[in-house]
Amino acid sequence: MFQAISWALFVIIFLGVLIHMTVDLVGGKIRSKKSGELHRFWWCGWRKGLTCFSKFKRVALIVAVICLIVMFFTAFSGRLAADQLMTGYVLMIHVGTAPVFILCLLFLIVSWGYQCRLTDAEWKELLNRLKFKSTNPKGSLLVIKLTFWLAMILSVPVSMSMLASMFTIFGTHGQEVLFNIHQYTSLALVASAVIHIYLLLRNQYK
Amino acid sequence: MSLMLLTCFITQVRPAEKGKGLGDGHDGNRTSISHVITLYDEKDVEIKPTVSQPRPISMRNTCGKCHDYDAMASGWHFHSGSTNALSGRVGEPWVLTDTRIRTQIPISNRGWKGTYKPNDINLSAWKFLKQFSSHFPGGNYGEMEPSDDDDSADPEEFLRWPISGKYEINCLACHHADRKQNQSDAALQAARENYRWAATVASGLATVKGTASELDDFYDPETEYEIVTSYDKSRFDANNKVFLDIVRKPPSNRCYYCHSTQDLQTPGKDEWIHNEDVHLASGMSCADCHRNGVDHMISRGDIGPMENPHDSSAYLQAFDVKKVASYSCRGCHMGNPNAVNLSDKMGGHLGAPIPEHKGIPPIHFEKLSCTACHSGRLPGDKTSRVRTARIHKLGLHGRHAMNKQLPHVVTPVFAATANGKIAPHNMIWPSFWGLKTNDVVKPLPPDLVREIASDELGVETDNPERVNDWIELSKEQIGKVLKLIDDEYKSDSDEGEPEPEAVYVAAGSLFSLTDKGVVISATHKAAEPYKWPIAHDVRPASQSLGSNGNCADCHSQDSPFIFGSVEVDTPINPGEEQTVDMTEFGGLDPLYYQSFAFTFLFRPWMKVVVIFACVLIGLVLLLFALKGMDRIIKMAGKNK
Repeated sequence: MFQAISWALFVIIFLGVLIHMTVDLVGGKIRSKKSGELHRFWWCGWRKGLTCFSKFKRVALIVAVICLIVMFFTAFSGRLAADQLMTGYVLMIHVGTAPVFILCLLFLIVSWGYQCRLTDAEWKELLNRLKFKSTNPKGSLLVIKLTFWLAMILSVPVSMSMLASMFTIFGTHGQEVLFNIHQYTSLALVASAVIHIYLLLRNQYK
Repeated sequence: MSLMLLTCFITQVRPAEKGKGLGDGHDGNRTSISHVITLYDEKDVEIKPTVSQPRPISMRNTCGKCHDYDAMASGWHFHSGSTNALSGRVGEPWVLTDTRIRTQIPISNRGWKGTYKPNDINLSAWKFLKQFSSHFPGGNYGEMEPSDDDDSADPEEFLRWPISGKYEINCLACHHADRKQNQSDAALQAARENYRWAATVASGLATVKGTASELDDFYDPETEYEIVTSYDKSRFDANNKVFLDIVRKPPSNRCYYCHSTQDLQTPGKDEWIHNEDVHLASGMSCADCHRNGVDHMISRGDIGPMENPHDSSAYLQAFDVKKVASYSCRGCHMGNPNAVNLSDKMGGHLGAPIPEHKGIPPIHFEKLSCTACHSGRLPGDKTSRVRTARIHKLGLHGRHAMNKQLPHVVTPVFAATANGKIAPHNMIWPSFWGLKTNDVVKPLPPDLVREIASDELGVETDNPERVNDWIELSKEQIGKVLKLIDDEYKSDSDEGEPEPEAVYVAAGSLFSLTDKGVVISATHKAAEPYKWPIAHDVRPASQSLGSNGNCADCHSQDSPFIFGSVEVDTPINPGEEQTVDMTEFGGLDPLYYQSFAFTFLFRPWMKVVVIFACVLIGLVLLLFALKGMDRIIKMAGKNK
């Protein structure tokens, strides 16, 4: 079941991103900045004139993304390919990466949380979207911010579900529930992170 | 009216279902049936204690009057000698030991890997009985008298069988609840080759004078009376009937005679500190879980609701899997989802508690059997030893008592079972002289080795020195004996046939001679230790591995469960401590488990880090959530 849901979600996200990029390119909405304006590490969120703290924030983001990629591959590769759970060294790598990831997330939410607040315009846009009213999303960062918050919210059950299973609180059934919580919230976390990073890069490139 | 009466009469007096004995089955009344019965001898003649020279009881004729003897004979305890004996999960073998020639061979006719069939070492039914009848339920080999046209049979055996008689299934060995039932007496009679009398004497109904093994080959049991049976007349009533305290469900005390295990960490004077199985301590009996029907296919607890420990389809067909699975560990404690009736699905037979396994990730239940954490003695740095009733002939009292120490049964060995799960095992290291032909090793019958290499092995030496219970065997001796065996067999081999090579198996190695006569050793599957999974004694939950979430019971760098040492038992340098890593038997990568155990050192830190991070993230989220709430309230307030 989880394997099928995962496949379906990743295919939808991949196709969605592909279609979105194609529409952007065909519609001419993406125009690369002039040569020299882009830092050669623009895809890491780097740009010229960053303060020391800003650099540190970006390093934290890069580490978090690397950790997420590592955890994604260790957890999902076997599951997507053969519906196999992690065991052995793969599991050790996954578990070893997790604390680094959560610490990076902590740093990111503290350092970027303020920037990711919704502005008045974004609140209105959000409300309009909820009411299915047309909006003018030009230059809007609403989705980027929402995926940021969603990822942050999901990181708590993702972490706590596995942490709770390490204590003698839950029996076999509880452990299975915790594991299910972990895998489904992880799936949602990965999905929101992928969308967030895609939109972030798109915004960075424009 | 008369037709109705006739119908009622027919219904009442008709025997039990076709093919079943009158006494088999259950009419629904829970009262145990009083067995005040007439006894019959092997000629099917009623036994009267007052006649001169009464014969011993025949179970086939006495019990068989009401019960289907042949159906019982197909049961687990009684069919192993048949041609197509069921295999199933490996179990405790018979072990043929001869310490003088440093031999211990696991024997079973079930084809368990690592055992040899009696035929492989020329062990006829008669010889099998001579070796193993001290702990024998009767039937099986006990009734496999060679037929007159059996050319392969030893002529002497034709003469000895009629004197000793058949060792029929001894129903009383299990079902006689009378404390007078004494299997040690049966063993004594068996040692005297008084097989016909064994059950009678053990029941306490009669005493027997005379020893069949001392009688001449041409002794005629029909006309001569050197073996005298004297019944206890007070046990017979006026109708020559006897009350036997027969119970359908055998008391555990009856099972213990053949199925006891002595923990050698607490032997002798310290025996009192040893705890018994938690199920038995709580008042259960062996037969509460090991149940059977008339066919006596006693459930072994190895067929679980979710998985079966082997791929023997014939074995599974012999059981009603949906039913017996309900009496496995999992079936009782957690329920059998495949069961037919609802209560079996729910589990909790006889009040079995449903385990919570708090803090134990479910992956453990895929990798480990229940017994891995719950059964046997708690693992130490090195395996300990046990003695078992059948292998070490425990329970013989009086003059025929034995104090066998060999073979050394080492336990617990955490090894992978046929279904890949790790379970505790008992284990012996085979040790024997044999012949290797086309890379297939077969043991030589110990009698032959005694003949061939009597001097080299010191067979006749009085009170030889023993080290660690073994008479030490040097490589030089091995070389000499191998040479003698080679001389004996290479000269006998036919032209064109591959020449057999003399070999000696011990300590997990196969010893052989090079062309220059040098003794070399190599690994060989024939030298691998024989191990069988154990389920008893079950320890209480609080003494299980991992209880109270103590992961370090197994996941520490010096955990005996994974990194323990397994004793290698061998007559070669027996004084030296020789061990093998436990990981070899579980198929575990020691490097990985060392690394994994290492990570547990950091687990408390990880918990602290993750809790700290999650709490802070939660607080930040709460802060912004409240801010968002504030905005919503303000927006709502503006809309008057």
